[in-house]
Amino acid sequence: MALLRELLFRFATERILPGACEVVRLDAQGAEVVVGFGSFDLGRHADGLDIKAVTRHQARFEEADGRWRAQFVFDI
Amino acid sequence: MKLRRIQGDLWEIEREGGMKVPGRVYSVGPPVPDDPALRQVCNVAYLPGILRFSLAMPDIHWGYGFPIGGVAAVDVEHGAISPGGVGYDINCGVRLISTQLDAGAIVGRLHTVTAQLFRDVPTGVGASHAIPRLSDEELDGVLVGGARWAVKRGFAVSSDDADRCEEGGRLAGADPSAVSPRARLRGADQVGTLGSGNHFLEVDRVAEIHDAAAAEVFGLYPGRVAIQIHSGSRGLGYQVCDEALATLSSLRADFGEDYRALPDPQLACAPVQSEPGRAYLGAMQAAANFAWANRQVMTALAVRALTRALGASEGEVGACVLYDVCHNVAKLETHLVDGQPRQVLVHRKGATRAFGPGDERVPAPYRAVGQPVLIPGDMGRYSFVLAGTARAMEETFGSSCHGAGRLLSRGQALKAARGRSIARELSARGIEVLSRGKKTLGEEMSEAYKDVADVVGVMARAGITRPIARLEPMGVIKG
Repeated sequence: MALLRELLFRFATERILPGACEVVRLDAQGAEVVVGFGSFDLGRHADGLDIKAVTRHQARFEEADGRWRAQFVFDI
Repeated sequence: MKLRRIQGDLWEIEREGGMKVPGRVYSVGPPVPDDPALRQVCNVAYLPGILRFSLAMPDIHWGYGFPIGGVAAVDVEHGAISPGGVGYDINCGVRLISTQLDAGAIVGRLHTVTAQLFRDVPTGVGASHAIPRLSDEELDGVLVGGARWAVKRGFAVSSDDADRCEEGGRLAGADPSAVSPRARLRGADQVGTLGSGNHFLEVDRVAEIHDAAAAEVFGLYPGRVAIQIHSGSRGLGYQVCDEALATLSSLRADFGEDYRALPDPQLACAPVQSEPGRAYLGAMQAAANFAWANRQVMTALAVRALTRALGASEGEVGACVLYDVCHNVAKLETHLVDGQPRQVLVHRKGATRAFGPGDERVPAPYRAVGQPVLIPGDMGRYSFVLAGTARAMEETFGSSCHGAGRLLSRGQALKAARGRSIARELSARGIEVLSRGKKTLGEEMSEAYKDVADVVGVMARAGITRPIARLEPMGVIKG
């Protein structure tokens, strides 16, 4: 959730969007991810969802059968 | 859940479990017991210090923690303040500006007017820089001064604009130091911007007058043009709410059994008198002031755009701020509780203050009539101007509904709009609409919303607010 919040904050303040990511570490303590950003372009992105908040509603981050699943609800 | 009809459209949810008070629901048609929003009405009734009822207005729908359309007043000394009871978009609200323009005279120039508004008021995803980025010192001025800051900076149609806003366009007690650097960064370049989603700027026509004497007091006459603005505190308010939810969620267990027993983590709250509670209150009041400054700057930009597009003088346009209401806020107010005046903290989330005639908190020009209550509908039908009543003061802590409420989710609306041009459909009905995002018009089309007339009708029959005028859209700007 902290990662998603940070991505949202970067978009809101620097007008950059995540374009690629590499998961370096993922465990019960959280994740370490390297993110590549691109610039916000009104011509290309105006139709995208304007995510305003990463809510806590039904937020989940759990491991099952060696795979991690995350669920988050965005306020748009 | 046990529901019983009190009278007319008013229903009561009996206390059960940890509910401290019953629920009271004003409902369009009989309420459905398995409606998740009604469960949220019950959850809100668990709030420490809640007084009389957990209230729901007829436009109630599911929200995070609190339902949208929920009202909860708590005791200031022993009660709790909840960011979920305010919502993410702190002081999302509506402003109405009356003009002396005749709607018939601008019909032929509607496209020019709408296009000029679209150019001059930043809208949509990432909208910013309506005015130069604010320094930290200037932002402090916004967070303390609200609409008054903007008027002083020259963003005004008249020097008394702020006097015609709820709370005079600023909440006292705002604490800029409680607004984090991250929230400040999100807000510094967003003053004077509309945003996206259901926010809008409309050129309306006064289509119908329900109470001629009251409408005259409000400056509304049949066939005149009015401007309506719906927006809030933008990224700054979202960040304040988000950080408060994170802080209070982690502290919940520290405040005692009542707080641990809350049935939904998104109801995270703190005692009003605790340090975290006071910090959120101060930050929330500051964010509310940011929203008022935002709508005040947009007012000036919109009136200038209208004047420019028509090649008219300011005198010919004759713009005047009619009123400005909050939809998402928690406010310290004095109300009669058990016959005694008492200071309470009223959470209104998707609800509008609706103070009655004679109340000193209503601007002097409107005091004999009651507070103007502005209820937007959807972009294809109509909006309403109502007036608060004495009964609202008795039954709902001076609160009424705030809008139509969605009928279809955004996804369902987009599906229903597939293959259609909503802009062309509206144009055929004489409504010019411009939006930044192509999907927005599908998400926001009329069919996606309930009929606001039904919602307003419930409030009128219950005597909470009375209809004064109906507005119809001519030109619409969306994000």
